[in-house]
Amino acid sequence: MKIKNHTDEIALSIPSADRYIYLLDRVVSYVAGEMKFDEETREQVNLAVIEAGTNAMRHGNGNDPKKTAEFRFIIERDKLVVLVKDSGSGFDPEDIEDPLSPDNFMKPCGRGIFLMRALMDEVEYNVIADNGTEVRLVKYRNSQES
Amino acid sequence: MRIDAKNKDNGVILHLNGKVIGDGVPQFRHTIEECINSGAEWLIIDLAKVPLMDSSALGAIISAFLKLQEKNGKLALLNAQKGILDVLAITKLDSLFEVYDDMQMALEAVDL
Repeated sequence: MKIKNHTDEIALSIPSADRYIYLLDRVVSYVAGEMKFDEETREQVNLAVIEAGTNAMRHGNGNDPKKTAEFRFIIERDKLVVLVKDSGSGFDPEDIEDPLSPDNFMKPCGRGIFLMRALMDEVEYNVIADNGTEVRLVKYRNSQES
Repeated sequence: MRIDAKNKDNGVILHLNGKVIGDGVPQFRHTIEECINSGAEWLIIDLAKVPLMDSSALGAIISAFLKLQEKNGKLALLNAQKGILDVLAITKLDSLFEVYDDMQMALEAVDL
């Protein structure tokens, strides 16, 4: 883990194995605390980043510990930006089906991106040709006041 | 993540401790499957000490619900914390799962 510029940005590189999700959880919890988010907002950020990290490791990197998932936590005055990148072959987030539709409601999978979008203020995907997918998650400080 | 399984009558109460994420999810899924394959006719999942569970953990609960349903069995969630209740509401799974904050009521709901 590398801390740059008086902790404004934290970069983390994690091997893609399920057991390291707990490490990611620790870091997210710390960063959410640094943002002085209230408890509910901290939990939202925590879960959203866990979902993004799990997707990157399991689906993007195929749970291959030789591949790393890259995380950047950018602490800005008015928001937290989290970038999560894998080295997979990419996907179209528009292909993800609605988990609330009757056809999908009882399926055991397919809720991760839906939750990320519900819990964060912004979620953007960027598929980088032949170099994986990066998701950008944003939580504004003042969103907890609404 | 720790799981403590307690047999009661013809069902099982699972007391979970910790966040159900990462490699905690396959552990959770495997425990549930073992309980059902061993003949449990109902499950109560105690979430009092679970501050967070991810979507794949929810998926494991859905799978358990469906398997029990095939056998006319039941599943109930107990003592879900606010964060988990919020996620159940967002995903509309609160319309599927019965959620209790009292063990006796949960037992009365599942024990056929």
